[in-house]
Amino acid sequence: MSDDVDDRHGAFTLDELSDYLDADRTPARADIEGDPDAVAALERLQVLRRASRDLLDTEASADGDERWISSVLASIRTTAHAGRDIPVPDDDPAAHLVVTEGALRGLVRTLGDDLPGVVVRRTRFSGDVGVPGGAVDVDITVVATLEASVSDRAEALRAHVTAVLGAHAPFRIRSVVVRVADVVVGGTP
Amino acid sequence: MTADVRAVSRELTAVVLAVPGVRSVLPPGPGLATLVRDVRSVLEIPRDGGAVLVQDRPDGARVRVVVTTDRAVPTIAVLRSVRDAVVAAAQHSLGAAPSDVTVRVVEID
Repeated sequence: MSDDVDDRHGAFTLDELSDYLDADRTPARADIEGDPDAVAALERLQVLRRASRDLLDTEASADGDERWISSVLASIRTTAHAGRDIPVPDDDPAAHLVVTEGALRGLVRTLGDDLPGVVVRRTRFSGDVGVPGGAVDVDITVVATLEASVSDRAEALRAHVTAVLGAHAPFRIRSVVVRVADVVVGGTP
Repeated sequence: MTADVRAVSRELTAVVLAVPGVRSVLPPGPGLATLVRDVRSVLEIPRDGGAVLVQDRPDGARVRVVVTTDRAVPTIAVLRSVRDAVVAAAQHSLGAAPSDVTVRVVEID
């Protein structure tokens, strides 16, 4: 199964745009800001988020059920990031166990946060993603600072992701490739 | 099935929350297309049930569970533990095992 089924807005997936919005569009990415379709999708996402916040304010003040509203909003957030369902190998025919692609992307992003000077910009899974226990290639694009060897940081992330993702992913990891898309001199990426 | 599905939902939500590695239980979300078309549709989820969706069907109960999990615990093990806990609790409440159980991990943190 290939990874080319993503809905794209301009050159970008909804997940990439959501991540960019999560970072308050900073640092500004010229590739996104210069893409009219991507900018239009960003604006729609912002409207959706504003509507979610409005719902929280309105409903919470109406009956005080903030926990219920918060769980609905968490459901909205995770739905927007979900991506594909990745099936877990299991013998029970009455059960469907699933890890969403978005959960694994988020995990890889937090693994990048574990390492200084590295920010994960994008993660793609390709190969037998829809086959329980299938072989999958993991492609990670990062931004790194120059305070230390970029290749050492990329290798450290590759090893970290291979070890941790292997304990959580329902597929067999065939390869992990880390691509450094950009370097930042000074500061944080 | 004769049990009140909302009561069963509340019970199953508590059971799932007790599984080690589970951080939270979320109500199943709508499809992304539905979400974008009408964000208010998600508010149709009943408030007096738990977060676990329990549907009464002629061929048996259908149960949907959406969880966020702790990365310190292997996700696949958590998924299977949730499934086992839900099936056992549902069997106790409903008198029969559910005909369909879906457990989805949407966030690992």
